[in-house]
Amino acid sequence: MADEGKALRGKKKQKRTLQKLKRYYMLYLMMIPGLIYLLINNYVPMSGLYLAFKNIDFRLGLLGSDWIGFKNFEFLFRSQDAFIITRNTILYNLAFIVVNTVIAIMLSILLNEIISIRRIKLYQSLILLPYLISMVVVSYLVLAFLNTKGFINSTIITGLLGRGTGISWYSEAKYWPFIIIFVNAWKNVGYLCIIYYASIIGISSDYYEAASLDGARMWQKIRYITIPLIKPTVITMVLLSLGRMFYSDFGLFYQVPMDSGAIYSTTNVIDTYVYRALIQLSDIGMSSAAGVYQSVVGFIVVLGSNLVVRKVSKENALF
Amino acid sequence: MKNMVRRMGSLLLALLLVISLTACGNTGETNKGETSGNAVTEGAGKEAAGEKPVELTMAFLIFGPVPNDLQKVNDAINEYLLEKVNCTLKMVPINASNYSQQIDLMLTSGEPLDLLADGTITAFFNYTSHASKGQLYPMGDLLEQYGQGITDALGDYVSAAAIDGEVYGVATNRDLAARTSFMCRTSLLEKYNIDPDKIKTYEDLENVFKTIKDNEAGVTPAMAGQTANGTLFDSLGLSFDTNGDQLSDMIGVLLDNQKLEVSDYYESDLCKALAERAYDWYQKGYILQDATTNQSTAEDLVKAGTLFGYFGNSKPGIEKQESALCGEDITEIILSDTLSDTQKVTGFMWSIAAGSEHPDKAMQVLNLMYSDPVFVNLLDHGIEGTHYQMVDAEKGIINYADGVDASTTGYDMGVDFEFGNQMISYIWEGDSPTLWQDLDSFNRSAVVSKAMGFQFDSTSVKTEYAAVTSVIDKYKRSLGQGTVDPNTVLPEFVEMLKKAGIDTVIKEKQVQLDAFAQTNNIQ
Amino acid sequence: MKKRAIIPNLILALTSILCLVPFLLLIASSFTDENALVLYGYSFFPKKLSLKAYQYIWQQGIVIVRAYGITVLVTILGTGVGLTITSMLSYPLSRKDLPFGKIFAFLVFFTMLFNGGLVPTYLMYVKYLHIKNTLLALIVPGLLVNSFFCMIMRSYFISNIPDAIIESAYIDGANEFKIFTKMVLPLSKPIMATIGLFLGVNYWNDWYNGLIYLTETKLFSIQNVLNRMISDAQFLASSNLGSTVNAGAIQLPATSTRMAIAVVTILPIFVAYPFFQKYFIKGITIGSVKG
Repeated sequence: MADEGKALRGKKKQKRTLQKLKRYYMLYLMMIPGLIYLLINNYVPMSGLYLAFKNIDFRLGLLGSDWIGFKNFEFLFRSQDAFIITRNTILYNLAFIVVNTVIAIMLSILLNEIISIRRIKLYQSLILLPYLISMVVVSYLVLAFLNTKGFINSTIITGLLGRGTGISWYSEAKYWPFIIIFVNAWKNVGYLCIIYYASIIGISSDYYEAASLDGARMWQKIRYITIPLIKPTVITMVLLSLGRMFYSDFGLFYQVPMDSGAIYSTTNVIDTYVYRALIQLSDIGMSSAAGVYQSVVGFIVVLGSNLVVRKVSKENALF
Repeated sequence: MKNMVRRMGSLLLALLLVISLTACGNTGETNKGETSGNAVTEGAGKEAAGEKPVELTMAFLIFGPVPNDLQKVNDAINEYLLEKVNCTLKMVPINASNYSQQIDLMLTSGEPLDLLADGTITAFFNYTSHASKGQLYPMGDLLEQYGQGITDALGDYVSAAAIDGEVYGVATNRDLAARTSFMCRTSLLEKYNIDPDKIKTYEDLENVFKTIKDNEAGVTPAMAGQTANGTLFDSLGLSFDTNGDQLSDMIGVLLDNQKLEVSDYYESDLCKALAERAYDWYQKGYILQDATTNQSTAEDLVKAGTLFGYFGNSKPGIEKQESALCGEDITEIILSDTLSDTQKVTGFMWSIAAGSEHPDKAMQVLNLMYSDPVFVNLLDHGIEGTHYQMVDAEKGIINYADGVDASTTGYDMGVDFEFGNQMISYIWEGDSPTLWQDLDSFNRSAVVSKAMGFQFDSTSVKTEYAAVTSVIDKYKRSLGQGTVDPNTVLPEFVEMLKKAGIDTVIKEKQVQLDAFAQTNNIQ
Repeated sequence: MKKRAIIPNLILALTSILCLVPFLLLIASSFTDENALVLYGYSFFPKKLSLKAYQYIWQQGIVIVRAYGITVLVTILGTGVGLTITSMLSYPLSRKDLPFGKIFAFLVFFTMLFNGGLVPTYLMYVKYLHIKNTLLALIVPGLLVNSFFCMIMRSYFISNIPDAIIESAYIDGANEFKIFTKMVLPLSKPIMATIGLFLGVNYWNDWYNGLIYLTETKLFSIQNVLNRMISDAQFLASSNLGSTVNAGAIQLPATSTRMAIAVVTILPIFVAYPFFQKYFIKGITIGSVKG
């Protein structure tokens, strides 16, 4: 009896799988171009991670070079700055996530409240504008404001506030956390804002109509319709940013502070450290090692946060 | 929507087409290469003349845009080379900011690459790393066989870049020494009756600075170097203060270039004194106040009228060169002796890639670059009549061709120092007609460091080396430009260097230097 | 009704101004005389006007025009193909009922965290796929499909495409591909426009691929041409080169020119942006009248 039941169930299962295959093969086919691309562009080159554990000698070839264990990683932890660069990288990334997400959501909700289409267009274009400017140019613009003779010193501090001397921004480390967070938000909020806005205007208007019929006010609609419905996008975006936790925008931390040594304590991050340390060595093994380190930590952070998200709301987890 | 999908479909189709086309193009090209090669072999077989011409790839460094007539000049060069050594050259110019990375990639991937400009100026090149990791072709035998012209031009310096006794690169023949000078505006010197010949010491310099500072509002007397990163350590530390040797990277130096004793410059009294002087000058407003954020070169600042002068390396003919850049007459105040060391010689070199299929041909072409004026002038100045014309054929003096000037010429890369032997090329009208003789005697007059020919291989201490590099980056600029107080910052710097492991690096450098001295019988 | 429009307008207007002001400074400095820039720094009201920067760009003539052509071509091709592949990859990943969906999602996501680094990627593309010095070098590496965009798109599909629509269409006999093109895509205009815009901006702004995979300057995109000028100038101004190289003797564009270059590259996107916006607005009106 039991066996028969199992066999029957097995058959049923088989049938169901077949049915599923029939229904879903199209979906799998659709994924193929993308997956092939990722295979070529990402997975095959990923095998190169082993370079991080080798002492490269081209006479022996990339594969034949000697294994040297974790020696290539040592320079990351060798200097006194190891703690500072790790701390800076993490704290800045956390700050970026919080600040940018909050501002972007706020702006996109506000955009959704605007009725005039022409104004929506105008605001959107202008808010996205900084995203289009390259970091090198941003660094010139920041310099224009913060220079010893710059706009802020000459016009605001000595001009409006009447103080004798301005602030020498590029040698005072304490101001830089604010400057960097501000510049980053200025540059990237427009981008995030568009993602969230797209997600908001995709919400079916039925919800809002029903709410209006029930006499809901604007704030209530935002609180009970908009925010819950864009939550999955927000969670995705945050999780994705967490994965890049140990990376940072090189231009933002190298070019914008003008590579000024006096403010390294608040501007030096892993990427800039690696760049400075390896500029004379050009060692493939060591630069791979830095990449491996950043990826592995990011991976752990994401796995952890994804686990938390899964516990809280399963469907919003990435995988 | 349907339209959108259809449009996307057609786009996809277009891409597939492009892909297949380029793929075809590629295979077509390689096939073509092979077949044409075969055809030539057949032709050569008929003529029984011998080998088929090969194509060599030559990568070199340029600054600024690729000249419009590069292909034209390249064709002319090919015509000449086919006749001379039966090969053609594919010139691949790569811009300065990308050179180091692109060459690393090309050497790693095994793309066609035969000749490459390499050297020990770390901003562009990684010669030591390339050579020690086996990416360059050992040149010793080839030099003996085909490189007579190179050996003649360079003399003993031909082996200046040897690593473990093997040469992987030959220096270009140009200025192989340098002296430190203070370049400044002639008009202001005259205005205040300052005799440039009498300026010999720091005190003399300070007097001049004071005069300028007190009397010329808005003019900063001096800049520590020619570019924003220049510090007094680089410009004066081991040349004006003492006849030393930076040993290429200033991580472990010779304080006396006649004594093979490696030490930490930043820990030395010389460094302390110079840092204090820099701080003092900064406080007094003698040197640039916004050095940290300065984005302009010294020449630009002089041109804008905000700078009186700057420290820098110099060579014969520099006054003319700098005057042109600054837009007014510049006087050179020579401060140091003329010094030479490995870095000055091996800064710019030529190497043959380890993956080259025709290293012998590459060496033959290289040999022409050091001994054949026709070839060198083609590389340096382009085609006669199109890009330049002879002014004085006997003395080898040229000017732009008719109807062409500096801004409209189709070929003027300004990298003459890079193409082999600069001293057999033509001289521009306006420059001293004896420029090359002057340069040659300048090179010969130099005090040569005992460590000439020594190349440091940092592989065995790379962890420490990387950490030390990043510490130096943090402190050197602000100390060497006087923006911070050395009494507190310098000891911190020295301590951080120790923690990063500078002593290990220096010890290794000393070991390698001792071994070098022993094999070369240097006392 | 009135009240609620005033506050959002106010905040958005202020934000817009904040974004615009530095850009105006950029434009102003591109019209400033080079010496005035060195002397007085950047200013909204240039002390001395000059068109030299734009003249310099104008002189580059044919180089600039060809590079613009390449950029436009690459942007159109890359965005079209990229968007197609991305949406076809993201949609199945958004389906909760797809067997092994989570595994594929993980595989896609994983590429965001780990990459082999420059050298292995370069070897792959140059040694095995031979794309060096071809137009494909500007389109394919790194840019075509971006797992970040896939994940965003997927999350849009998850939250904005009701399962009921898909299920009822399936019951009506439509196959999955038809459901995707006929039902899902029409509902996804905002996200398609968003990702299309970002892909387009990425292609337009990209100089890295050209830097790595091109030594043949005829194939340079506008960003390659312009970025090369900027980075060379900056590089030479900040390296110690000694007396052999004469950094200044080399004709590199001045600061004002670099600003003008930035303006010239940004403006076209700025001009093209409203065309993308059409889709944002349509997205609203298609979903009937707002409440």
